[in-house]
Amino acid sequence: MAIEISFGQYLPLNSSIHRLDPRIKLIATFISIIFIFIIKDFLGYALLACFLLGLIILSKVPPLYIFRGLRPLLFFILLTFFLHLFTTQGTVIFQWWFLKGTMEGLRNGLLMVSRFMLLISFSTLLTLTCSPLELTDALESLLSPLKRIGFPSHEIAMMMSIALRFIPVLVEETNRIIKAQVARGADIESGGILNRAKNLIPILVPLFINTFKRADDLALAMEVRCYRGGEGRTKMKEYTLSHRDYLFLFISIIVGILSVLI
Amino acid sequence: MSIEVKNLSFSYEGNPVLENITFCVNSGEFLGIAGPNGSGKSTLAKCLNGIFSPTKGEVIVDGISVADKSKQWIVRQTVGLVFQNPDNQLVASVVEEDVAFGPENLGIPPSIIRERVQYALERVGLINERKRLVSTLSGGQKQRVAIAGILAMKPRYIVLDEPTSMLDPIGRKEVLSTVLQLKEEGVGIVYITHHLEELVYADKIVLLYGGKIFKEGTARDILTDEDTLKRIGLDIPEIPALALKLKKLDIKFNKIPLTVEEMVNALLD
Repeated sequence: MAIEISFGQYLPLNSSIHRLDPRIKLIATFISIIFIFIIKDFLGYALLACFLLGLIILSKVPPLYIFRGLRPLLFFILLTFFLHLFTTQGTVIFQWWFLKGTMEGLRNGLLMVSRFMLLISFSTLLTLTCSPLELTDALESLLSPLKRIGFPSHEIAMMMSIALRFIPVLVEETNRIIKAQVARGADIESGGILNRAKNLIPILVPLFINTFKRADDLALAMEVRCYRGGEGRTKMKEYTLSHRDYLFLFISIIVGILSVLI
Repeated sequence: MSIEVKNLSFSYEGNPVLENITFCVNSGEFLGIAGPNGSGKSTLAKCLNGIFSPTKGEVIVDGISVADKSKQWIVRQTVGLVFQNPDNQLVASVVEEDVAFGPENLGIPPSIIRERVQYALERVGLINERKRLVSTLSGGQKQRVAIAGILAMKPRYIVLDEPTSMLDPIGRKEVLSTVLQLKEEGVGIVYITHHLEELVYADKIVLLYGGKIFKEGTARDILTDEDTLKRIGLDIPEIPALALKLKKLDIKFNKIPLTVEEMVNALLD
């Protein structure tokens, strides 16, 4: 279960969206997000939503997966909606207790909700169609021009991929430690918040110690395999941009501009 | 072509860990190193590819001294090292990405990396798992991925430091048969363990005790020498143990058998 969470929700399907260069997908998502923040009316959002729908259909990802991405943030989205609905000044359309719902509030609330939902859906689609590894590779490649000013793009990408690699290992380890401590009579579930936080100590201490040991082992294993930083390193996976990639980027920008102008 | 260890001594923070060790491994040869905990086995492994430089004496890999820091990457590529914990030595999440890690570090062109990954995964029998997540593999499979990751760098020698101590019996068998197959293909193997039954196919065995060589000889010499093994706290493997008991019951053996097949043949004669 935890393993599924940690690997985003990557769905390894064979679609035209999956085959796009991850760098292009990352840039296109970034651009769409910028436009989502610029747009100020429903028509623009409707156009972007249509674009998103088209992408989802092309990607063969079941729409259910997109909703699953939205679900954890549902409370937050609703809260934003009601905050806007009740706190915006304007023509009152209904009143409940001391709360006054206004026309302008309704409009603002709905705009915010559309903004959030589009934002999350676009990024969910990105993580559904790009493996974490492709994403780290894309990030490394996009940030590599910054190397000249001393930005450690290779190191950051390496750290991200090692973190991804070790999430399932550490989840497993945590479960093992919890079981071991419970077997020794540790009570980790009762008491108030403060008590529970205290109860975490016998779990976190061994976890940290073991993690340092692992880091040590891993560093040695990397050294043995001739790792010496990003310099002179090659990559097995080559990413080459095709016409389709440029076309996709072009369409994303056009749709973005249209939805602002509309 | 060999790893030559000559009068190697190594001290760690002033404490002697290894003293006056001398042996030699040729390519295509299987050398077993056994000893109880704290006998310096792991330290010796790290001396063989220059992670540790000898305090005294030398380690020569195909004519290059491991103490020569200007050639350390050549040495590390020639002598691959596989560790005990399979989880702690895999770097990437996907099998083939992990195997590619070594060749990527060597700066090899992508098309050749792909060939080498293919080659290495075929050697360890995991070619069909190449796209799988490392976290979904069994312990034995993970350890074979680790071996493939070393193989992809085309080493002439592989040093395995207790590669099976965290595996179940099936995983152990998988790893051991992979190692034996590599030996047949001409890779020099240094296999460090305290499970002596894994060394029945070794060409030579070196017993370490307290940082010194306690005894060395052929697998048959060492694995049937119950007194020596007992003195340094190692268990004699089952088949020689059985044979020695049978011998006391006046059953004659030309040579003490090491494997089940040898035992069956000896008893049939």
